[in-house]
Amino acid sequence: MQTGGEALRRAATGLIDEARRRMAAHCRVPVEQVAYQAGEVRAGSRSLSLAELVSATGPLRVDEVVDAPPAFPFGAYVAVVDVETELGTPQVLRLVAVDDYGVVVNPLITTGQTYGSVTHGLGQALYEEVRYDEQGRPQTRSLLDYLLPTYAEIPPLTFGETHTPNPNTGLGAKGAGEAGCIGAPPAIVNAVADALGLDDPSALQMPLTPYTCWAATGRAVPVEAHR
Amino acid sequence: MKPAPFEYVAVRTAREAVDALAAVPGARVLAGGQSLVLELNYRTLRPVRLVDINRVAEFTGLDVTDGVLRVRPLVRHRTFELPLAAGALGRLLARTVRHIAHPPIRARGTMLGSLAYAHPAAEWPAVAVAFDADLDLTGPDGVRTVAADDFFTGPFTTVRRPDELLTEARLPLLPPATGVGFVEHRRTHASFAQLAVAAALTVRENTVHNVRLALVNAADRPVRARAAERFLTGQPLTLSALAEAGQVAAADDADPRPQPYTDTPYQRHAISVLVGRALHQALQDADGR
Repeated sequence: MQTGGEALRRAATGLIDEARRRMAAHCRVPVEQVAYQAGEVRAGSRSLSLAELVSATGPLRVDEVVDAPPAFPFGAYVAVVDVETELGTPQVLRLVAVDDYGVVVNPLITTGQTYGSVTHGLGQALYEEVRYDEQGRPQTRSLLDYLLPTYAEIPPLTFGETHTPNPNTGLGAKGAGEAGCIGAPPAIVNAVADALGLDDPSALQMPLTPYTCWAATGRAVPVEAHR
Repeated sequence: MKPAPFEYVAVRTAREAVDALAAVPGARVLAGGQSLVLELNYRTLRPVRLVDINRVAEFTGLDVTDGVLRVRPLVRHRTFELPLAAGALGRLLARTVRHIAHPPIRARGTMLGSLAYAHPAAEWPAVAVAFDADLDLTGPDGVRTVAADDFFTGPFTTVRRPDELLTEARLPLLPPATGVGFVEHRRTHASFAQLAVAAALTVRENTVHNVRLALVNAADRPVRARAAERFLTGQPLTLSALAEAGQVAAADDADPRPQPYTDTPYQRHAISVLVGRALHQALQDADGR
């Protein structure tokens, strides 16, 4: 919406201007006297739909080039985790995500994107990794090796939004696709570090496997092998 | 993601199955197909012939006779989710089966298929070893019976010869007043077991009369934790004894192999914890009766 939406907005605006100019020439009136509303151009008492205008005067066409306008999305993520310390198994009990996507044009899309990106963020924090052996051979060769969160691993999610319009785009929209991938991992890692009483969360490297969490505490006494 | 060409033979009797298997070297048996078809599609297996046994009427069903549960080749995992007139053994199988993959796979995959496939992280092979299953292998020369303990020789390897078919597994029922437990450690609901433990505990007059412990994925083959069983048998029942049995199993019975996302000390530690938990579950199961 930030880039494609802005391009569409500018193209549509340009097309309306072009239609008004065309209508003005068609009716021999100044362009200021032509109004556009809901697919119709009106000059005084005469009005034409865009289709009628096009069949009377030929195709309408505009070209626009839009550079991706900068945006400054922001948000806050809070994770509540439980780490079963005997085996080190982490479990996310709750995840709260508050994002600012600017002006939301279609909430269905942004909410869907939040579910998807939060799930991927959870995957990055706890499960997903492509591994190589010492000779550089990939050890992760299929989705049996590459662990993804499934429905059963998704904790209760709470989403909130603030709406600070993006001043660099006409729609005021910002990107919304990857918020959860950005926000969820640090929230989860910080929560696990807090649960384990670690002063430095960077001691934990994602993905936070049970082994990683167990090893980070250094508290369990390993069993000596007898064979 | 498509299998290499193969000849498909659907047989109707056990005799036809054995003949079809023996006739072509490298033929494979198709029962539930939940591992086989995946391997075919990855082309990690390229059998020239598949012998589909799903229409063999004498391969269906299970029964309990003379204190033994007999399981035939077409018994799906799901069967063990339903109440089974097999006492503590039935409860153990019911607790175990819930950890096998997910419902669609359990509806199609079979116990005997899982035993024959011998995946190191599979649940049934360890249960078969620890609970003294006898396995019938039928080949061109007739039937031979192998104890589950002698059946598994390594990851995906058993003593089954290519022209033999696993035609029956027999599991002895467990004594009265036995409690059972099963615990599994895995990373997501859809993952294979990193480790799992099945336990059965028979207590008489507050003393451990009999105990069985199965370790899943704790070595290159399914493990019966005999050292831990010996340690516990005859001991007064205490929670610390159960926990100590876990340490014995981890140190003396397990032989964990390198795996991603773990190291050997963690595997041994986890085995110790899981054995303790499985025994504790078994104790609660016994107490609840």
